[in-house]
Amino acid sequence: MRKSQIFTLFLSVVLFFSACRREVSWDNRVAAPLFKSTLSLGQIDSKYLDHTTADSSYKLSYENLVYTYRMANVRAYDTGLTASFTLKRLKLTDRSIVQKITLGQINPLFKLLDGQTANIPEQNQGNLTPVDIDASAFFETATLDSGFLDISISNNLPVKVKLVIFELTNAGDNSEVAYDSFTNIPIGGKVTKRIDLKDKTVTKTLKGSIKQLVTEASSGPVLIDASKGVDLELTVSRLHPRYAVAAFPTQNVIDQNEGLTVFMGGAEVKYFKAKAGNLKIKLASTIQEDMTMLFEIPSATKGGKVLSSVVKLPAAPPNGVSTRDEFFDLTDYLIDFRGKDPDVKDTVNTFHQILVVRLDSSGRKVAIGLSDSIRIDYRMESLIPDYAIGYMGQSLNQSGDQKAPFDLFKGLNGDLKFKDFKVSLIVRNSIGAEGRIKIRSLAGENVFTKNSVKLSAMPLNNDILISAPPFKRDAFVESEIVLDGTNSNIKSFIENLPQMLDYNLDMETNPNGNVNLYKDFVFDNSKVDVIMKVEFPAEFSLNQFVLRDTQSVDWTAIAGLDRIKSAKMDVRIKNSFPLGAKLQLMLLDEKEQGIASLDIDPSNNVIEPGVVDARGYPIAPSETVFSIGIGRDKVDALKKAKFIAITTTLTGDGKTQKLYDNSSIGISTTVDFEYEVRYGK
Amino acid sequence: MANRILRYKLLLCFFLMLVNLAKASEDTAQVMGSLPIIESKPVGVVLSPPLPPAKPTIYEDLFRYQLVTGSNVLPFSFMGKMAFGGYITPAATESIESHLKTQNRAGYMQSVGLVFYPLMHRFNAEQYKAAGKKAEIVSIGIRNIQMAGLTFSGDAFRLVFRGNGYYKGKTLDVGSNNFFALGMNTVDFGVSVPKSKRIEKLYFSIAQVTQYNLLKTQDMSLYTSPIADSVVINGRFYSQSTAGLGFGQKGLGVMITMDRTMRLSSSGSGRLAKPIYYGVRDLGLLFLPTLSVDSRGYSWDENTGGLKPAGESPIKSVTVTQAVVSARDLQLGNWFTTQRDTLNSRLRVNSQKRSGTIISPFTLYAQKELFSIRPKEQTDTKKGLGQAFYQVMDLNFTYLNIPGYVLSTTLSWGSYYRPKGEQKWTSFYSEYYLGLGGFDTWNLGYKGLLRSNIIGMGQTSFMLDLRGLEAWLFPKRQHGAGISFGVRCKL
Repeated sequence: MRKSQIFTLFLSVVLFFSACRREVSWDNRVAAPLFKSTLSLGQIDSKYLDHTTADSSYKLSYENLVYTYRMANVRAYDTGLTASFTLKRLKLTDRSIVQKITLGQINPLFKLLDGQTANIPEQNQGNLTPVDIDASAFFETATLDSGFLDISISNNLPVKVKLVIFELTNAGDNSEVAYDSFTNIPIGGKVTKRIDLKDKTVTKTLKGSIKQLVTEASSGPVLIDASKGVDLELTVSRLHPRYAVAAFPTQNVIDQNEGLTVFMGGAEVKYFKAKAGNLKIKLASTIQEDMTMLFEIPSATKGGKVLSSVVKLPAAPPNGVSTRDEFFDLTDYLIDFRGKDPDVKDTVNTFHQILVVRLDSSGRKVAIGLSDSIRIDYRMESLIPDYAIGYMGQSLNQSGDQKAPFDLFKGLNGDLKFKDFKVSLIVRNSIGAEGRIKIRSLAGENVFTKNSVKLSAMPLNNDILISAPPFKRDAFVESEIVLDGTNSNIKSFIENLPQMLDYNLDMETNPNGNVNLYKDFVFDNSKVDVIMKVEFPAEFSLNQFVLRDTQSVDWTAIAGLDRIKSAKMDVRIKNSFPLGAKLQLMLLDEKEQGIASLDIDPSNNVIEPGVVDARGYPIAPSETVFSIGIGRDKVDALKKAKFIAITTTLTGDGKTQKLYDNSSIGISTTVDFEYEVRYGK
Repeated sequence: MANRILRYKLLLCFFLMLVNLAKASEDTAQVMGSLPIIESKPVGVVLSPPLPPAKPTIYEDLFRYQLVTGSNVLPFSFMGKMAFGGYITPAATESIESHLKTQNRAGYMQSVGLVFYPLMHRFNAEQYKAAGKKAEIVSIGIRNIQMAGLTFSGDAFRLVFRGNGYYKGKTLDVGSNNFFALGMNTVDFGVSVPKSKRIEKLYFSIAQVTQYNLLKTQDMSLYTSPIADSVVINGRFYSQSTAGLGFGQKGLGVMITMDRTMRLSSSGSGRLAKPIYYGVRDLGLLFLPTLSVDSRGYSWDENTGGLKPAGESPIKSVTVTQAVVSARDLQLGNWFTTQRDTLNSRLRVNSQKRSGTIISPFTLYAQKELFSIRPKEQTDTKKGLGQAFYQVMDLNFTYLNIPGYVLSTTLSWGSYYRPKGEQKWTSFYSEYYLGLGGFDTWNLGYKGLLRSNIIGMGQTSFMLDLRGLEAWLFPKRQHGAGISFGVRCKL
């Protein structure tokens, strides 16, 4: 036992050594090139910054959107119709059957005289043997709401028929269907009587009884043909059953051809091109026959083709329902909303639609009752215009007190004086309707100094009138109000370096009503923009000016970040701008709260301004070298950082500076970091 | 004449030691310790009823642990961490740098083994003699082996353990380097070969590879500009690794271990000279089915078998400079991955999967007793160690074929003791030795073997071997140390 106990102990040791993965680590210092870049004002979109050819200096142009208005009321509200069809609209086929009653059946004696010539005396027979009549060609059974039975008696006897009293009953229960008399039917003649079948129940097996037959005597000897007699013709017509088991003929059960009005939220639309939208049709039927629906909107065309469709609905099972859903995409359809027949009546918001539902007879006898019906739901949904033409109605949109960011001076703060600038308030309209804007108040707020300057401008005391652009997508008209020192306090407004604009304005469309006579239009992207445009030459003086920016950082591209113990980025700057700068970098967490600052060495580092000549034209760049580091104690902060806040303090000499197109900043960086190498696991 | 011959033999031995001045020796105790002692004659016992034939009783290591580390430049404090894990400080790597030579070497080997069959003592029976004439498996054990060896240039050490950040404006001539690491689990079957007069014992091992790494470089260099705005890389390399493979997917192999004796007749005397013990350990083949191979500047056979390059392919130096980016690219931040991907594609590192067979790292050894002394007069003490009754000087040569290991020569002086008076131990062997070569340059060592009767275990030997005493005492200055310990008993 003792040996095995020791063996177990040693086995544990062996397993320990074989299972244990030992890892050795050490620090490795890596120096590697990173990136270099040249930043110049030429990289900025010329829409914002353009250089003049005269002296290659720059002119900055900046537009800031203050307010946007879109027409929210031009949209087709979801609309639809529901139609249901019940048995009352059904009808059965008009049919005829003929039944013969022979001379032999009238009086069996004539059978003995068949083929002989003899005088036929006056006859008066009663309660002749009833004859079975098979009416299965009409239906199995039917309880009728209305309908007619025409009984025609043709006299093929060689004598005149003075009186025939005829009775028609259901064979099953002997209930009366018809009872009538026919008089004075000449030889070869025919008399018809119409019986009203309203509220009568008729089965397929009938019995026809001649209750009384009175004939005159023949005028002389006549050939006796026992096979001839009177022909009984039964014709049913205009049958509208309340309940029937019958073979229903093919027939239209819904037949609509009319205009359908859509609510447009106040606009009166003549034409509407759909950017999106759909038509949903839902059919549900308890009829045990196949149905076909023909659906068409003559008002809706796409590529010259009208929107139409044929939908088949199969017969419902006994005591069941057959359903069918159809979906039509209305995208790119142009819909004429002028009504069913605009040449006759030109209206608005109304489109022409045709709906026909046809019962397709299979020839089978099926049961249909009052509880059976066909229900049709069709809905136009989510209809969004590509454009709409008509009268867009009048609307007044009051903004109330609102704020809009002014990004030109975002992150900037300091003492900056412009030599010259031009500010305009531009109203840019792409809605095809007239309008006007009233600016109640406009102020600029500097979020750093908390200073707010209200804009006082004489041109803004009056309404800004807006006219409609031509009917073309993205076309617009602009109304520009120039603000300068003579008509406003715009200089102090701008030199406050606002980052936010506080405004209150009213936007009104069609203030004068339908002056365009239904020629207003709106595209899906039509809007009214109120823009503040600032233009100034890149010529200014500054003592100290702060730019703030926050950049997101993503370390996931750098594998093994958790092994970095310290890092340093050496930065070489070649600056030919006439401004110096100082950098501060702060690491921020996901809530943009400061975690740690990056160490910049030398700590009082300044990027020296470039060498310029007397007129400020750059002649030689200055070179500055500094390092941005993060020591071992701050590496954890680096790993947690999601943002970097960059604060650049520009320093000038207070004299007016001009920026030329050959000014640039060249940045060249290398990295030097300590990295823990791990081997063994 | 005999004495002259003996002197010549001694001079030859010392000459060999001088030739191998910068080399270390492997544990000679391994040679001695693993030689089994097989009783060839049973104890006379008659049992009724008679027992069936039994396997021969053997003495073998129930448990054995062995660690050998060494280098011609890296101190033991460094190599110990490479073997056992740990963190190597920048101060440590910096202090090593001043001692680096143009060509350096280092390595370690760790082995732990256990015999699990048979555990219980075999009963000797009369029929043993008949049974004892067959070759049969007499023991089954397991081992875990970890080893690594490397030859490297000074600049390779600087690049790997310091980093190019310290050598801006300079070229690191990394040159040619060779790194090898292997880990295995083995099952060892000990086979007795009673009919052989020469083979003491034979082992067959089945090995499972747990780790294999190989890295070879040729003419590599790295230049870093003074401000690190450009880096120039050149040279060839290839690496092979089983990293990422699951347990059991890394490879299998078979190996053989054989210990033999040879006796030469002493010239002139007609008597047999002292025997020469020699043998080979763990010689075999390892099949590696899936290796991740990365290389630059080498061509390979198109079939994925074979682990040696077919030839060299032309290469050019690759210069890495700063990525030129626009302001927008700078903001987007994707230039970093673009730069990294560009570098990878320009280096044209070829990655592939290959399979192949390698010769397992094997050990060759030879050992001979040079002379021995039996003191005629024994001092009489009541208790304690007493005087050695037998002293012997041995010479051992060992070679392990992994990078960083050179032929080792060990000269040892051992003394055998019996206890005086009542002692709990039955015999004690004490040995001092001087080794040259191996992973190391030189080292001093001590080995002790104490035998005792342990209740429940029988005659049991406890062995401890401390190699590189100077490195144990001064680990930051001296290099090459090791330790072995084991328990041997009758199985």
